[in-house]
Amino acid sequence: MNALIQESTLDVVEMSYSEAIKDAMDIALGQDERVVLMGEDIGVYGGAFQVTGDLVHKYGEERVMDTPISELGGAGVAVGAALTGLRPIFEFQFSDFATLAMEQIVNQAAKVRYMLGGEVSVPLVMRFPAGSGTGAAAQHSQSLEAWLAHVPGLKVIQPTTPHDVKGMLLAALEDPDPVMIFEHKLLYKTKGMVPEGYYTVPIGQAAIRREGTDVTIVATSIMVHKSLAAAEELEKEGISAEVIDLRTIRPIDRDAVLKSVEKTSRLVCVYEGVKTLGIGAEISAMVAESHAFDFLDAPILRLGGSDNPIPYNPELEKASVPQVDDIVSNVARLVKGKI
Amino acid sequence: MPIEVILPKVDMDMSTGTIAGWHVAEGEHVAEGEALFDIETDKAVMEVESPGTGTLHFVVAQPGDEVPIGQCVAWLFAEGEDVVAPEGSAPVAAAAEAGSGQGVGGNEAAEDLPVSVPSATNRPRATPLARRVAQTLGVDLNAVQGSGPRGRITRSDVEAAAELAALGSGAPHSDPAPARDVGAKTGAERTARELELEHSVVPVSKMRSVIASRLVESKSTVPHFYLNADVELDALLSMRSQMNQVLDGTGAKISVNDLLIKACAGALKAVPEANAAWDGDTIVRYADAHISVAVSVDGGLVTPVVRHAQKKDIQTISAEVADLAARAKAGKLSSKEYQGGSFSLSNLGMFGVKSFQAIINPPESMILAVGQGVGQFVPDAAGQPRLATVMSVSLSCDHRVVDGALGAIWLQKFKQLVEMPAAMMLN
Amino acid sequence: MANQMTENEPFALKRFSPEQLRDALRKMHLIRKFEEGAEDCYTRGMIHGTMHLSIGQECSAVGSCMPLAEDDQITSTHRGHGHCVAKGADVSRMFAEFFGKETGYCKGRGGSMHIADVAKGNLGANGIVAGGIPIAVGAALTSKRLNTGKVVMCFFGDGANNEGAFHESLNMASVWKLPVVFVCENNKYGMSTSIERSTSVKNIADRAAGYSMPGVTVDGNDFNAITEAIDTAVQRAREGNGPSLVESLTYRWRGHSKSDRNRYRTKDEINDWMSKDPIARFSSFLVEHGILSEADAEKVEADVVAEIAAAIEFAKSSPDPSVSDVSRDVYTEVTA
Repeated sequence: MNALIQESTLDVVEMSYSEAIKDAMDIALGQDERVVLMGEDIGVYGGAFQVTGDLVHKYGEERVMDTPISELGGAGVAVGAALTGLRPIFEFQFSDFATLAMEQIVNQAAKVRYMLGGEVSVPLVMRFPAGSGTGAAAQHSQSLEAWLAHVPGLKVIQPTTPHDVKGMLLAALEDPDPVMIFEHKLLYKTKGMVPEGYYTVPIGQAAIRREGTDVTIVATSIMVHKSLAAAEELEKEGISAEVIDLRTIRPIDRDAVLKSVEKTSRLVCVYEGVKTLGIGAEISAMVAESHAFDFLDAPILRLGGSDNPIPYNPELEKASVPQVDDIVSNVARLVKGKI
Repeated sequence: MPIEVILPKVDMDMSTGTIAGWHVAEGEHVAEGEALFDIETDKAVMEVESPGTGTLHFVVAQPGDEVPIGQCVAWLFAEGEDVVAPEGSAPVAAAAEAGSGQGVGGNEAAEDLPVSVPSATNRPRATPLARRVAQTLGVDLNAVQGSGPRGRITRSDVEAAAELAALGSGAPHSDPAPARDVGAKTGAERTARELELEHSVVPVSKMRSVIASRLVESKSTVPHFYLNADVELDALLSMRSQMNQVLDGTGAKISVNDLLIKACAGALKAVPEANAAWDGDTIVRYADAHISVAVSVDGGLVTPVVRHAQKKDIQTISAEVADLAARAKAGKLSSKEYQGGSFSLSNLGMFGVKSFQAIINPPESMILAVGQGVGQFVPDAAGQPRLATVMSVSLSCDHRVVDGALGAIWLQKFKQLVEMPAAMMLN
Repeated sequence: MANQMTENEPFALKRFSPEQLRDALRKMHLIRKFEEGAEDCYTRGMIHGTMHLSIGQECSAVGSCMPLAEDDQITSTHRGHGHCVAKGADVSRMFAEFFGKETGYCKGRGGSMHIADVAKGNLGANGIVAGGIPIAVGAALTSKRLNTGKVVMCFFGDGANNEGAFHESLNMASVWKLPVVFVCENNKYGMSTSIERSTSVKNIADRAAGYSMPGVTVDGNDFNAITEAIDTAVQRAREGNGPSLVESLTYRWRGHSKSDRNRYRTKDEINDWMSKDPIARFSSFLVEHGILSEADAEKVEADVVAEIAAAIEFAKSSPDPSVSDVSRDVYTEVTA
């Protein structure tokens, strides 16, 4: 509530998603000495996606630290620093490279607090540029958020707008536990209205981006935008789709999903990560196990990445993740009782 | 005090161990650190060293015995020490039975899982929501035709079945929950109360609720338009009186309405595009004329169907209508007898109504409203007045299925059949 | 080693007070008896899971921690009971942890492999080989960035020297000149694989050259040698000159873990090391230099036995955690 009141009094300016991230980090560095940025080529280079930009000139190399190309060690240093009093924001150059650091993320960051009986906490923020659509092929295009969401002790968020990414990054810094931020690379240049100054957007709350009555589309990351475009098309066919932007995949906003499914009686999960054993499986099972099951009037549908590495060829790449047309046709078939 | 020889825990997931063999026989001397016995876990055989120096006595676990960890399996007595049976030196084979279940980290949750019930092979396919609605409305899913893939029953299938069931029985249900929107409260009762107008409050029966919701749906979602015409009845009335003369004494009697049903059927046969229903993304065209006939009953009305009316003779139609109407009033129609009509006929002529417009009975796309036949002068070919019995009819059409011209063609055909009834005999 | 001494007087006698030295002996005994008590409870099925005993390595643990200040920090390993005691932990709470009790250091959630004592600067043992190394570097980064003056001591075994995390961490600590002391307790075997079969360099301390930091190999069972090497490294860290690598040669008398069948080493080898008991060696040293009498030495051991017995009783009688609290502390509970 406070955040909302605070936010409503702030001036609003248009900025891109990556500018909003930088703005959040700038504010955090400016107001809290404990905040340090760590990552590969985030200093004078400005980050592989120019997210940190010129922050090194403002805060110096001591606070905007270029790490060696050492994902495991770098992540571990961030864990140790968070454990002992700093507030590191660690950038993986590509989320794919986080596979090198899984030990520190999964065995250490996520578990230290629990293993030590709550004696410590790890207020660590990690940023993961993720997703396909850049032609970078199999090792630079993955959506691995479900991997981390499988680990108790981590929080995993996927902000979809400049407004949210700034507010959620600042919320992540306030959070005493490790927060993993998955940023779809194709969102970096998208623009939106962002309040100036400090505000937070709570972790763990979904947003209903569009209200509807015939079907609930639960989407994450860039698929929120594709689902909204699909909902426009569906409206022309007389189908009213509700689009939920999950925003946080651990912890999931269960109430928001269940309430919507109760209203619409149909559920479609849309996400870019590989469909099999992905976020959609969790959402589907969550609904199937809940009281909302009794409200289902059609099978639950998942639209996710296909079971292959992301290919290089642009047409193949597109075919590997859900596109607007796929969402439109599948949702329409579901609502019309064809599935 | 003798030294206890215990069965040691030698592996992390171990709760019991099996004695594989003793290296030292009972009564023999053993030094600390020497191999004393072997134990077998599910992974390997491991040697256990003697925990002290002395003579081995009271070996209570023999090769093959399974022993819980920490339990004494023998005792070592120092030189000169009295060999007295220590506590617990009874054989352990039986004790292991009780201990063997005390494993670490047992998954209790797994045991709590409900036993799965094998599903019956002929259970109806239905969505969870359909099942829940069926339970609330008291609908037997076995009797419902599913509209989804592989015959899956959805909420709308159940609700349709419930409506049909309500119409069939004619009896008010106790169920207070209407299946569909029947409109918000208007405040009529409150106003009546406030103005102290004498009134009573009548509960809405299931049938009234269904009529309300279906007609609200029809009038608010079906794009109606109306075509009016005057039809001369004299030829038809003359034919009817001839028929009834023939039938005199048989108990059978042909009504004007029976003949109008036949005329409607004939017109539908002639204009098959109009014998159709809207179905969302498709239009259903019927091969035969199934004429729904509005019958008012206690507390409402029902619309039993005369099937394949274009193929039936007048006498058969007449007998069917009489039977359907009688059973409708008695609440004894089966659901199949009032579902699947392709056209409705509503006749209020017997009440002296000159003309009216009817609300379409979904999913049908036309209903013909028939008024009273009255004598009036009409101009003949030479412009001279001629007395004729004229009936006003109004055809309501669903514009999604029937356009103005199509409706007009149908109405023209109907008029032709009524005014030249011999044509009805030609097929 | 002798060359490094400026005088003939042994280093420990110059650096530490008699009281500190007697306490060091007490801690070594405490570790030994703690390990034996834990082993006994384990074999009786009173402790579950597994454990990695450090019997034989007591001098290395105590000697390494001697030059540290109270608020300096350590990260430890799966063979971490000794480090925990050496950094000042209460053995009652350690046993309570091993018994899985709510009164344990980790409230029964960690057990042997995650034993920690954050209040005393022990950031925790680690179940992952080399898992604690980057964390120690991170803690040292905090020290430098927030100017706390703390030195971080990072314990790991010989097995960890071939993990990527070791190399990445030493490199970063050196590049950023962080106040961290890397202590490799080389007990010759990474589980069953000997250092000769696993490691390309003769001494693990040779790795230091690759990261431009001092590296020394010392006899970890020699109190003077280990304390002197560590003291130099801690001083260097404290003064802002960056990290050092100290290789402490030692030996574990017991197997790697409780399921070890000792197939990779001979009984003769084990007996040889057992005959050079580091505690007896240090005790003799103290008696020899008049720091304590033979009778005092025996009394230290007897007091420790009683302390351990009391600690086990405390652990046994402590309450179990409530099953309903199984998900507590996965996340920090934020009070609105």
